[in-house]
Amino acid sequence: MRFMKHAPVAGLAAAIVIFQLATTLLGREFYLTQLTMAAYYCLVILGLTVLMGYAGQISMGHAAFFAMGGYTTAVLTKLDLSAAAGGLPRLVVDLGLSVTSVNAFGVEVRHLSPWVSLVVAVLLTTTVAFLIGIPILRLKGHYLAMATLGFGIIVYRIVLGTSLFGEADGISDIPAFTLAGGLAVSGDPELRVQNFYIAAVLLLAGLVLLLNLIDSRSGRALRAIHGSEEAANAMGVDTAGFKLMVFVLSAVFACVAGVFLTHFNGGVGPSEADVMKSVTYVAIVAVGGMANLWGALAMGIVLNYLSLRGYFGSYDELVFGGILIVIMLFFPEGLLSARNLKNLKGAAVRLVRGKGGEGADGRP
Amino acid sequence: MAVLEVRGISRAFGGLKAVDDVSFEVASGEIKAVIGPNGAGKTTLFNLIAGALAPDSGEAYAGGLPIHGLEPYRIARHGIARTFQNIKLFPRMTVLESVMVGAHLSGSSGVFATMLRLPASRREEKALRERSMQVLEFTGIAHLAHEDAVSLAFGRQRVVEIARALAAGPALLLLDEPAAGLNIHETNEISEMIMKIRGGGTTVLVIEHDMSLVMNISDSIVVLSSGKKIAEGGPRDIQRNEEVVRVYLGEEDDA
Repeated sequence: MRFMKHAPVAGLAAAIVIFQLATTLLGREFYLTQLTMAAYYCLVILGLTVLMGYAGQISMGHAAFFAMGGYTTAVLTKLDLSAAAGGLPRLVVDLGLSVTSVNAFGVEVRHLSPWVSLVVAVLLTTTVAFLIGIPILRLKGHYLAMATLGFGIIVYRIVLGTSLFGEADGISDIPAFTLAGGLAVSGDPELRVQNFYIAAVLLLAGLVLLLNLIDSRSGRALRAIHGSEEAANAMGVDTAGFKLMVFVLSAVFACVAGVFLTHFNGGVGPSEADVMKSVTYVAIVAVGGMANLWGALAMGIVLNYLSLRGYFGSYDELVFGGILIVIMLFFPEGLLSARNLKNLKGAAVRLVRGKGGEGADGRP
Repeated sequence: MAVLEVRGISRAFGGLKAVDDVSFEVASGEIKAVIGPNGAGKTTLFNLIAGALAPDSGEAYAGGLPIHGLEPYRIARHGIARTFQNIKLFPRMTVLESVMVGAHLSGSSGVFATMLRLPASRREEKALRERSMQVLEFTGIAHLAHEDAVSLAFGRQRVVEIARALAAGPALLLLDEPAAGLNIHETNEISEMIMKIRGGGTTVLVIEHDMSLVMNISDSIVVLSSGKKIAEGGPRDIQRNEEVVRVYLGEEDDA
């Protein structure tokens, strides 16, 4: 029983290793770059799947939380502490919260440790998600969609209009995020394979945490809220509290993804905060089957990968917008939803049985 | 001490007094029924007790503690569980999972403990599952544990709702028209189940239209008409009460 539960995760881990070995053997390691990026975007999508698919609360503003992670770490790790003579910067250096790295001009610079900026980004995101979540999670359906959309637009305009955030240019030359044991989140082609694994491990960890969550007391409470908020509340579920918790949780997933991808890319731009990005996340959750973490993961990897490799060309936004329209029209419960998969399985079983039956005794 | 005490509770919708100054007590271990013609305010009264609606005035006490004006989930913590007249089961959840939501309050693991599968949350999960299975056996639907709850027959869905409420281990179970839409056979099953639930130590307050069910199982009955309590007493007293007969059968008039 326990093995069965973990078998898919183990299978995914094996597939990741096999894929990496294959790309290396075939001299196609550059594929890993977009896969690494896709994996980080998938982290956002998994968090959003729990919020949308399981708890039934839509967010059209999750790109904002991703951007909060990305821009927080970008701004903080770009501050030059080399000449920190006194005050807070000196304290940061003395406390060992700073690291040095070589910038694009070959100069060694002392700056805040990305570990610190990661913590700051998570705290900031948590605070903001709490503050906006309390009033807007009272809304339902398209009112909630509008409110989160509004939040997303505000963050986008702030990013776009603030010189601290580089306005339309964004922030570039962001130092690598050195983890333990010589591992570093960085776009350096030399570190491509290890970065692929860093992203994969983070994604797997996120997946396992969320799989655990949905199949638990808290997860059932969330799914019950989706099914009937009134009944869940009558059963003693603090519905407002659980909605807020899962909203904050999914925001933190987006924020962490933003921090890592920003260090991997070495830069962050306002397009990450763009509303279209939020629409993309929602569209992928929908194709993934809404309440289906595995479906969201599969679709998240495939669609992000295709998008990032430029397969959709200048029709990128059109593709995701189109996906959303088609899903809402024909598969409002999501494409890879439990019901559709069941029907598909039933059809496959009938097909196999039908053929087998004829072959066995010659009768229809 | 009364399991539930309602004192002068009122609620109006616009100019309509849906529940008007209603008071009664539910004693521990009894089956009490609330009856009345359509529009008498029975479901509104239930919603006031369970917290789905806030009273305009009046008070309600569960085991001596005030519960009026609290949110439903807080009232549930005072040992009051309910079912709904128009069934509110959770789609995309099995019978067992639905009943485990009913047992929500017997657990305490939060989002983080369950994400990390901490040993305490694992033990708790097991206990919740066992407790819920016991309730399914008690209500005779253990064989449906892994079925999709909303795809069951209507009568079965009713039983799942009752099982879900029972899983909370309530001191007081509120049943909102448990026999509505059921055939005679199913109604008899429900009435046996209500007796069994009381036998298990749970006090029951039931709204019901089915007179034979009410008269058979109730220890005492509250009669509502146009939001007011017009009578209260044992089944025999109520059957003989002229006011009740007049409200139910209508009075001769010139209309």
